[in-house]
Amino acid sequence: MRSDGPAHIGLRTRVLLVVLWVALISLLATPVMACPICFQVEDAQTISGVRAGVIVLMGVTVVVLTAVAAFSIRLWRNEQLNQPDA
Amino acid sequence: MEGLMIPYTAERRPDTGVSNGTLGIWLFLASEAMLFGALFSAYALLRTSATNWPVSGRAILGTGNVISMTLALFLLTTLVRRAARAASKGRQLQLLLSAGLALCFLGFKALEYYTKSAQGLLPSSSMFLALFYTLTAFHAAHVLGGLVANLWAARGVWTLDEAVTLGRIKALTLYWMFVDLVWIAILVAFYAL
Repeated sequence: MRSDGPAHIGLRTRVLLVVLWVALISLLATPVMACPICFQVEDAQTISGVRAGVIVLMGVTVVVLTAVAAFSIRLWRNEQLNQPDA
Repeated sequence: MEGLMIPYTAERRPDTGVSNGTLGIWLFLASEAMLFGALFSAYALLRTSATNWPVSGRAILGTGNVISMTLALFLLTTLVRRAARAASKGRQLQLLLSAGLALCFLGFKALEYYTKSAQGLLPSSSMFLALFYTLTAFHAAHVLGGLVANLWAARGVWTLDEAVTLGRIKALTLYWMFVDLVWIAILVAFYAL
């Protein structure tokens, strides 16, 4: 039995549809500029502000992750010590 | 019917080396550190890139209330720490006293907010005040949470095992030390720098 679903559209028709879709998108598209904070920003104060924010956030994250890593190592050592002799 | 006993609530687990309560409070504090880290990151970003920032935060915020609040907070932490070594009656009293000091801190904070807003110093007034209100309000919410936890621990002093109460007090001590640390960071950010 043959159903009328999208699975039965021929390959040539599919390619044509994709080409048409891409052409339509290309015609309707308007130029999009990258966010000025990341791309060609001219305000040096904004750059240093973002840099300071990232440094603080990275600092806190590194401290927390170091503590998690230290605790994981402690768990691993405890496991090694408590293992019965084979 | 006997209640369900959760193991290692007070005694140390052999694998982790700490009780479940201690591990739980450390994990909670790690998540809190990330929360305040994000807030201080926003502070660093906005302060560094701000075109208009007051030369002295003390000139805007004043120092009268902040000294009282700092004293209340540090005394509170000392009392919670001392509660671990006290007898049951003294322990409950110290926990209740520390809850009272937390209430004093919140009262001073509410007074500060009221006087500032009466002077027209609102979060919408400047970037400095927006960050000040955000960070101090988050901190005050943590003081309120600690107050509730103190009352909860004080309530359990007579009804629970010594070990369970001690575990709760140790967790509370860690929590209040974290709250103090955040307060010091707020003092440095808004009053010293």
